[in-house]
Amino acid sequence: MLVVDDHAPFRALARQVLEGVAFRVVGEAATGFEGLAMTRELHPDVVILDVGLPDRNGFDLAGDLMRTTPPPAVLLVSSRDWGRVGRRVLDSGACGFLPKEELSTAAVEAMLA
Amino acid sequence: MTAVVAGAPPLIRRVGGATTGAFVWGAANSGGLALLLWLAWIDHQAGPGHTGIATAVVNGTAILVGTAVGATIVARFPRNAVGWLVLASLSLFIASGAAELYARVALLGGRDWPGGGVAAAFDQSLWLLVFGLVGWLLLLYPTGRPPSGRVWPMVAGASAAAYPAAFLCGLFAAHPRLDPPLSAMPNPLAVDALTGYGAQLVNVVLILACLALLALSAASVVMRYRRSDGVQRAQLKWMLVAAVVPPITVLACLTAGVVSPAARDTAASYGFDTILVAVPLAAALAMTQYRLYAVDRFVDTALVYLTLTALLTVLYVAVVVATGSLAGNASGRSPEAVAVATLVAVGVATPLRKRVQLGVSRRFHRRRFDAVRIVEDYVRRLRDEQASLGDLESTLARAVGDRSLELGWWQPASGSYVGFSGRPVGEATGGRSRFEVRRGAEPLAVVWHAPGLDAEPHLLEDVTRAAALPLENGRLHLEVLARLDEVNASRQRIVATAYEERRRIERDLHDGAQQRLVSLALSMRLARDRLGGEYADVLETAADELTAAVRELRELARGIHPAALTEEGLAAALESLADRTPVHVVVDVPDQRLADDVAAAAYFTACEVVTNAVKHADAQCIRIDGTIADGALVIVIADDGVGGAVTREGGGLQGLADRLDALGGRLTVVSERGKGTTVRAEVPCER
Repeated sequence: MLVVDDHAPFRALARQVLEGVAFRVVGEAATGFEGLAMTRELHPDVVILDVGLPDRNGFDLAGDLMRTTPPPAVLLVSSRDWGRVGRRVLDSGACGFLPKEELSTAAVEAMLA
Repeated sequence: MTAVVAGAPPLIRRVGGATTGAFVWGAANSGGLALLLWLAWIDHQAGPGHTGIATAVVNGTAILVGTAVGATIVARFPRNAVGWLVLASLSLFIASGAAELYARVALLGGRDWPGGGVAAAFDQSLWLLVFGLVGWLLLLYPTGRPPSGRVWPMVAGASAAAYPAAFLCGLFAAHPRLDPPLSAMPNPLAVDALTGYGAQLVNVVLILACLALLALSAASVVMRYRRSDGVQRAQLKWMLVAAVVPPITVLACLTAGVVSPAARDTAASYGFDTILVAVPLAAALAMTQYRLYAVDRFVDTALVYLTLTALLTVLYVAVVVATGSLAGNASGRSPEAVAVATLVAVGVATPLRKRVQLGVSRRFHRRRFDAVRIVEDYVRRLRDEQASLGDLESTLARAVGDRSLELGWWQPASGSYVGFSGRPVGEATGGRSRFEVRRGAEPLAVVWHAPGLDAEPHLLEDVTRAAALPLENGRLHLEVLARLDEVNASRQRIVATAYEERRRIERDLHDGAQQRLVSLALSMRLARDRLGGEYADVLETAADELTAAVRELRELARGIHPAALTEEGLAAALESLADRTPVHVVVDVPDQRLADDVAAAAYFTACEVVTNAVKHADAQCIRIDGTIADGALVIVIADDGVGGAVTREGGGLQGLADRLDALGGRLTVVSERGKGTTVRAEVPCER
């Protein structure tokens, strides 16, 4: 699993919250550019991707991530309100959207299921 | 060949022996003058009642100046008859004067000189030839040829015949002379054939014919003036200045006559001398230096004051006589009468001058008069609010008859000229002339006009002077316009800044409090999972509270400035708005990037209108349609609610309208009761 978010405290917490029996966090990225590079290099199964990255919009980046081989499962997260996310998530190819405060192993597993 | 040419005349043009001829003739006139003065001196010695020293000196000076001017004209324009005519008329004047003095000395001075009677006969007739030459001068000035047409050469020919004939008739007739005491002397040249009544009748008819021809010659000048333009008109105006002198002389004589007969004679003599100098001098100036002075003003002033003097003189004399009669003093010269007359004359002088000025302008400067009238009429209508300042340019164009005329006001801030609407003017000035209007030392405005108007420099001067008030008001108008532009720009900045502020606050919330609360909520859950036990419930509750706080904060941030609007644009933000709205909302807005303030203005307008539709109009369905056309974004929000919405001062719709107005846009509301509400917001997106 790869965590892509520009806020370091969130990345650290996400790692603590998610790492356990089900997942292992293989890397953290602060920008979209880094995230894409690390995805190509580390081939994570899952990418936890923030929508509001400083260099790219998460919805757009999800598409690029999905085109890497093998394509990871992308889960979009954000603390902001993005309004009508359903269609955009679908369009981007991501498997779901989760408000950051609801992040948990159970929630991620439910999304991936 | 004419000596009058447009443009600068050549400095000196010598043709054959013309200069020599002029010099010789001038010298001859001077010799004749010396003879005249010598005769005057002898006559003066005969005692009182004979020639005075002052008169002789003034006459002599006048002849000398006239001769010098005549010779100059001949030297400069030898092929033009005008110069030669000036010299010839002066020669004849000298001869006439010499004949008179010789006759006086020979017949009355007690000297035994021969031929006194012959000299008297010449003295009594030569004036006709002087008049004849003056008539020709009038007819030929300034080109040296009679005016075109069949009549004028005939007048010239008739003059050439009538004056010599009248002269000869007078010379050889035996009838009594005009001037005493010489009239008592018999004419030694009298011929029997010219003594009968028939001959006398012929003589009278000839003299009347001569006077008629002189009047015609004078009329030719007026006619020539009417037909002329440009240089020739300016030259003729100079002659008009000189032409003012004879009537002034007559008036001076009349006024002096009220004082004493001797004063009248002196006035007459000096007046005649002034004519002798003025006419050739005016001719010379007109032919050489016609561009030197503003002759129009000169003529104008001369005519105004001549008429004014005449009117005041008549009034003065009338009041003196009337007051004298009332006071029982038949002679009418009591000091009281004079005082009253003076007071009356002083009292009416100024209003009378204005009247006369108007009359002279109307009569002699029709074009300028009409032009100024057009402008004055416009100023009057402007005052009565029947005309607008924006018509000033077209009014000036109409007044001076130049459709291409352009008017620009000086803008010190930009250092350029702008038209009434604020657009720059005078850029395409190719081939056009400019006339600058100043207010003190400051430039006020500029008029670009066709170069044809350069020939009439006073026209634009008078017209712009008449338009001083609207010109000044135009400047103020543009100043207000510039201020308004500044205010509009500042309003726009304020509104744009307000949207920008919202965006910044939302970002600060997201980056600060929101992130911290999210971290806290996650940490709390982590603690619950790791510690659990007896604190699990407390930690779970705290985590839930924090999650609720994050959600509330998210709502708040979205209300301030939705992230979708910043990150994804207007269409996405409006779709998100549609999702949150409890009734059916259809959004059809192009997915196109817009300037932040434009997108924000459209979004918040839609937000408020949708909220109103749900809250107050009981709408079930709302449509949001957007288009971008002609550089403006138009958002139309239509609902099927109860309608009847009104834009109230201080109300929500008014606030929306104000914000759009500040960005150069506008809001229109159609809301008939029972037929739903349609709000149309327009925001310019190309600035």
